[in-house]
Amino acid sequence: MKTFRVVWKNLLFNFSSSTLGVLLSALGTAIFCLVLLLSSQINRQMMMNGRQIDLVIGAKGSPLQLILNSIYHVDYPTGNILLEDARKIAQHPLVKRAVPLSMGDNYQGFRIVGTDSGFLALYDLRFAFGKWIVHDFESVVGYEVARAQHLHLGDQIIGAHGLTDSEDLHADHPYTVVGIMERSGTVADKLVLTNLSSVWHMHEHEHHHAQGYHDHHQEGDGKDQNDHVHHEPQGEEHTVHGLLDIGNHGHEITSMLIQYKNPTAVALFPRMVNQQTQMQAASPAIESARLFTIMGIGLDALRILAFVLMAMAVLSVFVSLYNAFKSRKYELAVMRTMGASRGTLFKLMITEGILVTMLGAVLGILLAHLTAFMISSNSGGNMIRPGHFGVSEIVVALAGLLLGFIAALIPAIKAYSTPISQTLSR
Amino acid sequence: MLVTLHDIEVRYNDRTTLSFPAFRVEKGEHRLILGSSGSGKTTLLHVMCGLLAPSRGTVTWQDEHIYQLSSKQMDRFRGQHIGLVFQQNHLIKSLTVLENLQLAKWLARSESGTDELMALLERLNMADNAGRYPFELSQGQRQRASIARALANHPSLLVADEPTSALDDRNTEMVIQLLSEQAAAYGATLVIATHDKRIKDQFSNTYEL
Repeated sequence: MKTFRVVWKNLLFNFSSSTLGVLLSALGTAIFCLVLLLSSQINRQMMMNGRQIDLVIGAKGSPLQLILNSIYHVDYPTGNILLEDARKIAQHPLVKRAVPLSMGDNYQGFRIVGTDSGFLALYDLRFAFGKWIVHDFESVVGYEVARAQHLHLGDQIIGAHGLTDSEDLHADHPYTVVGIMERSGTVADKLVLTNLSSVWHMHEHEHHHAQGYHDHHQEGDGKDQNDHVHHEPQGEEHTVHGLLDIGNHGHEITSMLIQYKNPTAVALFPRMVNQQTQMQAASPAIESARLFTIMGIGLDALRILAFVLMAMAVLSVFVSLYNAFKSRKYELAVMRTMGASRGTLFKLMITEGILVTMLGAVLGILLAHLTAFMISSNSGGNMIRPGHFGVSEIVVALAGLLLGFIAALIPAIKAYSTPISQTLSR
Repeated sequence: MLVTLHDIEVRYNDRTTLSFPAFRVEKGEHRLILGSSGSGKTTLLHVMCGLLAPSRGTVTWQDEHIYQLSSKQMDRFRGQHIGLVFQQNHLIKSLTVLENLQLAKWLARSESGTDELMALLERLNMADNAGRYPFELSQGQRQRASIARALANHPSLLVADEPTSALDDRNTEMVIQLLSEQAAAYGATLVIATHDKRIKDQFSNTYEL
């Protein structure tokens, strides 16, 4: 016969009110925990992905869109820029590394990105198997892509036009998987990389249509291109194109990722690009911060909701303990006659409060992770690792303990100070 | 001498006072406190059992002044020496009969042996109901369960407050017999407070208020 057992039996006996208390604390904790989980992981994800990239250069438009597209690979491109123009920028003495990106296709929802091997250095990517692309229509796939599609070296994958559709297939131009990357924890895990000339070949015919309105052409806008009939490019050379060999053919890319040589470039370089060229420069750090501020409002609202729910839970535990105390007053006095000290009754009440909110907290943490898992599996899950348990969970559990203590305090003091004789004679 | 109450006076919040003539309980000598409602029977019992400190007078248990004990010592003393049976049988609702007995043991900090408690229930013909909750029992069964709980710690004094007020003649007789028998079997001295004159004949020592 222990304190815990007496309390537990009492909770079971008053099942409905105990369940209400547990559920309310669970909901509060779950929302609170989910907010923590999302904000910390989104934050981390932003840090990881933008870490080595100082500037993105792309077509004029929304800088946030450019960053979303070129750093996080979520939004559509702002348009295209000429490789030639981009390369002029890249030759600037302040630039340490410049990596071109060209996109417009996807493989089973994973974006196909034309780039060069500089991309690997920007994201600290390492090969699990294979090597970097040598020939056209070879690809290197990210960890998640390989895992989700069960890809092995030598497998052929078929891209589809647009960034999300899987209808308009480029069945005539399969890519051969020549490399599979290790898990990096960045967005690169969910990309299919190829070289620029493969992307250009794939869309050769579009350039004929697109000439004359380069800057406004939206590659990602699937609707425009769904009508295109994909014909076998007649008489096209399938030879190796070194990156340096192309570039003066009027080729286009989506954007260019820039790494500075030294920090002084921060002040000069973006302004130079914005003022002297037809392109725009956007800083991942600034835009990510802006994005996080915008999302932060939503997170704040959720956080307030979580506090309200937690407060409700505390109130409910308090009310149910207090009511229980009133109806159990006699029972508690009887316990005193059986030899229970004031301290024992105090301990019983406090244990009951803590047990309810602790159960709620544990349930809530599990619920939060389950929700995170559902979110990440529904929405492609670039951002969230649902299996991640951190210090915050321990803090939340401790908070549950503290709230239980607070809710139980007044009933416990009441139980402590109830006069036995008066209560019994009533 | 087991308990001696000397020169007791209790003052209530509304300034009324009750004073009681000296009252002693000899070990093994069952006593009946008889008085009409409001005459202070329950008050006297509470004073005797260390539940209500009198404003004047002394309560001694085998030469020990119990109201000089600390609150904690008093609780412990109560748990170990006194078994109380109430008018309404206040068993703990969320615990089974056996668990109620175990609770009594735990609260009095004495070792709990299930066999011993089952033997006690057996004696009171309650062994079959050991796993049942109070709400599943009849009034009579609940009373037996409370008697068992009061005896669980082998108290030196078994105190019953109006144990028969809700019972008919036949059951009254049975309960009184049960209390006397069990008290004797467990070496406890029985004190009953009641207004029920039906019981009077069965006791030689009556203390009238």
